[in-house]
Amino acid sequence: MSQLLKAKWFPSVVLVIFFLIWNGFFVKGFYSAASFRYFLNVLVPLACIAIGVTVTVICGGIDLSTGALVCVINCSFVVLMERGLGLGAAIAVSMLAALVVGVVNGFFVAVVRINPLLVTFAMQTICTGLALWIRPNASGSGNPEFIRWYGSGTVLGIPTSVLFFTIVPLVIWYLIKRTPMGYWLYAVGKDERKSFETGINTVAVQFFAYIFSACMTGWAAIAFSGNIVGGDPKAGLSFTMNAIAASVVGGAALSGGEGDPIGGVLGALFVQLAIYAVLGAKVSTYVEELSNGLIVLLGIVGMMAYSVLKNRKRSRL
Amino acid sequence: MNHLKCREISKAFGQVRALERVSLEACGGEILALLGGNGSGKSTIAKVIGGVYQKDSGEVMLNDSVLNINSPIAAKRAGVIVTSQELSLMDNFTVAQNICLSKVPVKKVWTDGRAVGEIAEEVLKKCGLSSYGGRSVASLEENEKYLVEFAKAIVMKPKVLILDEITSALYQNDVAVIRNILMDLKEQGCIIIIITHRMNEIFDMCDKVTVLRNGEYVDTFWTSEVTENELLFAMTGHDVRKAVKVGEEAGGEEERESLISVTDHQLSGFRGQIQFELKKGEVIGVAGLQGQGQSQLVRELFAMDKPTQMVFKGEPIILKNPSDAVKRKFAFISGNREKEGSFGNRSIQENISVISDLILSANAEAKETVLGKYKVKMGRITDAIRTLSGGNQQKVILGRWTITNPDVLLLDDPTKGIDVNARMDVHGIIAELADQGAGVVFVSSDEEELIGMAKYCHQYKIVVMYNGEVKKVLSGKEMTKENIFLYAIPQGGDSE
Repeated sequence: MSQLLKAKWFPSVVLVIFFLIWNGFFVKGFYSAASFRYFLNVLVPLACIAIGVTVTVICGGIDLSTGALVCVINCSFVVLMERGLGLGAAIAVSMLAALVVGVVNGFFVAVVRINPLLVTFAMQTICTGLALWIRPNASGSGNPEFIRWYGSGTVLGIPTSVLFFTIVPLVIWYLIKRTPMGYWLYAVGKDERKSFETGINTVAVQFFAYIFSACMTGWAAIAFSGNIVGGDPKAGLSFTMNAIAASVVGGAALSGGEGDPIGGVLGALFVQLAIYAVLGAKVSTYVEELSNGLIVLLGIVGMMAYSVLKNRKRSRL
Repeated sequence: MNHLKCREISKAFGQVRALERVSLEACGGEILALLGGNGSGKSTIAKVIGGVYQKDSGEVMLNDSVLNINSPIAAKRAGVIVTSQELSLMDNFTVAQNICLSKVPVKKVWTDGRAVGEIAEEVLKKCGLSSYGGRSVASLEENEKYLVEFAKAIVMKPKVLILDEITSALYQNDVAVIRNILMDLKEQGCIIIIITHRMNEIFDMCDKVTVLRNGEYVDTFWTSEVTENELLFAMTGHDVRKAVKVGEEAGGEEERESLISVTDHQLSGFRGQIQFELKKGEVIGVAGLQGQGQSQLVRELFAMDKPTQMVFKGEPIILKNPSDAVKRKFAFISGNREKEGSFGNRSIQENISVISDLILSANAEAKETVLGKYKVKMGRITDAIRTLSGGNQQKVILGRWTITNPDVLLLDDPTKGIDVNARMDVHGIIAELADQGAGVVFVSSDEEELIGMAKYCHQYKIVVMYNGEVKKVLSGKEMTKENIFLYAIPQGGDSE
């Protein structure tokens, strides 16, 4: 219990519990089986991206290319299957594409040493363009079997979407964290120069972070394709900022070296719950986004205030 | 026997030539000291050997084969470990994790958490920090951090171990611990090179000493065959002892104007008794073991973290923040240059004008005056300040405050890791400001330096702090090392 209180992502737990209760009261039918499942299915891609983005943030960077990468892969995934590729092959090709994007991001950040903000922003634009080129308008039907499996399948009572696209990625992260790479990511994020002088291969570690993030995003894009039916060149763009907000609410410090993907998942849950809360409040559609943004901002400010207070307590004599 | 040889190594940073064909030899079973003023190239050659910097020319040879070390990773592989003067510890890890960060123990592919603890405990025990493994680095005292840094280096079982200023923040008993470990390593044939400014350590621990000056090799001596004065002469190129200015006997008890006075409970961070008065033209040295509240005292007087109450020039005031303090002509200099002194990436001239331009409009020549007057060794005034050596950086920072003619000068260990020459310059600047009527509070971790200050200053006393209290005020002939230790170390504690 005290361990839980100490975790950096503790405030996000409070936020999530608050909105789970709030939505139970104010969002009609939030806890009915079908609508809650739908809520989870919508949440899962964001959670999966947040896991990857959190790792880049821990490593002292940031990834702005995630939303656009979701669009590219969503479109290509659908197009590939329309051209007669099997589900497995389409997933494999999509993940390969994500890997390439990760390698390019990693190369320019770690080897060429350009600011990750610029590199991944450029990548975002490139991916947006690619998505439009592959599929200029939202259309297509995807793979109905996959959509059914994603949307309503369960394994041992756990929804397939949550199991394969959030729990499995988290498990992969925790396995990585148990290897020396777990140490190195936090070390490089905290202080790149010290890590270098300690003899850590900082280039490889940064490379890894961007590849991991892109792969998680690719995986999230496949989940997303199980959720929105066809291919849409624009639908995924909002993920970029929501994922960063999620990881910050979940306790990752943008200065690097701190945070945990589980916090990113909780942060994603918070962001999605907030969106639902606004929908449930039936405010005018014109102020929906504004209200969302304000709630997310409050979450971030709350998180920051919490960590400032915590640090102050620690540094007192 | 192991044998490390550096042949004609040169290295330049932009305009500044840091190393000019420096050759160096060290053998296993011997401890070599590297001695030299700031900017003499000691740290630079350590970093070249450790792969942090790339040499421009020359070669490093271990046992007659050329070492191609182009990164710390390669150095680690070759068994060369160099500690950094700026600690390499990270405060988001525990002590044990920090120690194992260079070589994480692995079982199959997984980090072996238990081994991390065990490996760390084994080496920590040797360093007298038993069961520190689980603590966070942030909770350590400054001297403990340096011991952990040392532990982190020796845990790699290096063939070549280079310690850059590891002892500068350590106490006598910590140094003894390090000495014992080094003697063991020496016996095992490890090549050990120590960079230090403390003469007694050189004579106590080292077999040979190589002196560098201005990036060039001067000479190598057997410590058994050389005197301190000869070393100082080799370092500086002139006889230091003669240059020391002897202050006149303190004049009669003339009544001086009080600048600052604080009484109990006015400083919020202290539990104990702080009775403190600073007069015009007076220098107060603050002594004590590390972390007994000395730094906090000067930081509070500058309202660094929160507002401070005090009586200033006879009227009670509240300093709200540092900017408020500067308006009342306070100046503060931190020993932590990187964080609190210089703007590393900005030019020298900007680092000077940052205070004068923003707060008081001073004329442009002031910069040149400062740089010329204090003999700052540099390339161009537009170079980034971090291209200067530590001593020169500190002179720039001190110099920029002199432009503002401060009434109160607060110094938090300003000469940490600075060589004899630069120290003397810094002391000279301080004395000069005091003569002009400023009150100075001078914290130092080096007792000898505090005692030595008496030579420069007309009005001087030393306060000794322990556990957030002023234990004793020493003046005149009472100011001896023995007296300082008497009050700095708690009764019944383990004094040396």
